[in-house]
Amino acid sequence: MKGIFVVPKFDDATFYSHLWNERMREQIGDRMEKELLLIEDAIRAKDEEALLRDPTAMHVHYDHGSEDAIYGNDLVPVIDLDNVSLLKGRTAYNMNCLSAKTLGKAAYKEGCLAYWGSITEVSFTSDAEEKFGEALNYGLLMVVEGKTWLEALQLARDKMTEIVDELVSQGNGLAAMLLREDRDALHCWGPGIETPTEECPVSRTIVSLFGYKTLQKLRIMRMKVKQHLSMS
Amino acid sequence: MNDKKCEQQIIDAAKKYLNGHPPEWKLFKGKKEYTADQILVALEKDPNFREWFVNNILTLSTELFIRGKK
Repeated sequence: MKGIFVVPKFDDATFYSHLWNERMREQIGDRMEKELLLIEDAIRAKDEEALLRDPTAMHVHYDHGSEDAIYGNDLVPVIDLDNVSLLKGRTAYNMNCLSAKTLGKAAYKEGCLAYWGSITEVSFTSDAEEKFGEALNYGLLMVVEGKTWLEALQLARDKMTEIVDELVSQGNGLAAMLLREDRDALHCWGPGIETPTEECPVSRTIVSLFGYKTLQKLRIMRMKVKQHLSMS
Repeated sequence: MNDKKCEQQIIDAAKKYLNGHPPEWKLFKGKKEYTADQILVALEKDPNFREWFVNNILTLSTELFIRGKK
């Protein structure tokens, strides 16, 4: 098993995500071959090059994300809807905000074998960062140990529940509250997990006629029009 | 108890809870980060943050109640 690790570090939040990724790589040890794109190397051009060079390596990303993109050290997306097809035929583990919502769905539709991530913003507190790191790393550790992605998802949720209880018993209700939300936002698009279908009949028609990318572009356009109208 | 009163009780409890947190303590939520003092301000002035915070406390409390935890 090989992984391409894309791990920027440029603000306080990414200081922690970088630290968590470092701890995870130590825990994984030589059970996984690693290509590291860290800090200034964690940029789109280098990531695309690495992905093209190795079409089956897992893509691992720890940094900021949004519904339709995950970002590099220069705040430019390393993966978005324009190059999401690079995830075809490989798995993707994401410790970033929101990307499982739209990008994950698009990746899965493009042939990504499993896309792990969050459908909301990831939250944590500095005093319990070690526990959050442990919780958010757990899914990948389970996959490395040989669990399926579906099994890893359930095990990660169980682990997070265990840590929520631990934080409550330590009197850290605020951290417990955030980890509960992080747990419920975990999602994995993959085998054994329900194939996504659009609820809205108009969206379903657009997808069947023009493809998922077109639907996402229309949604982004609609969002920009709404923002423009609300500002004027 | 009505919703407003319940919300206010949660916010008052949060204020007591956050009182005394060191200045270097932070809550990260996506790209945003808050010190304890900034959370108190957001609870007063930002209705979206308040709603998120109150809902999260209620959701965790409900889960712990159902799972039989204190």
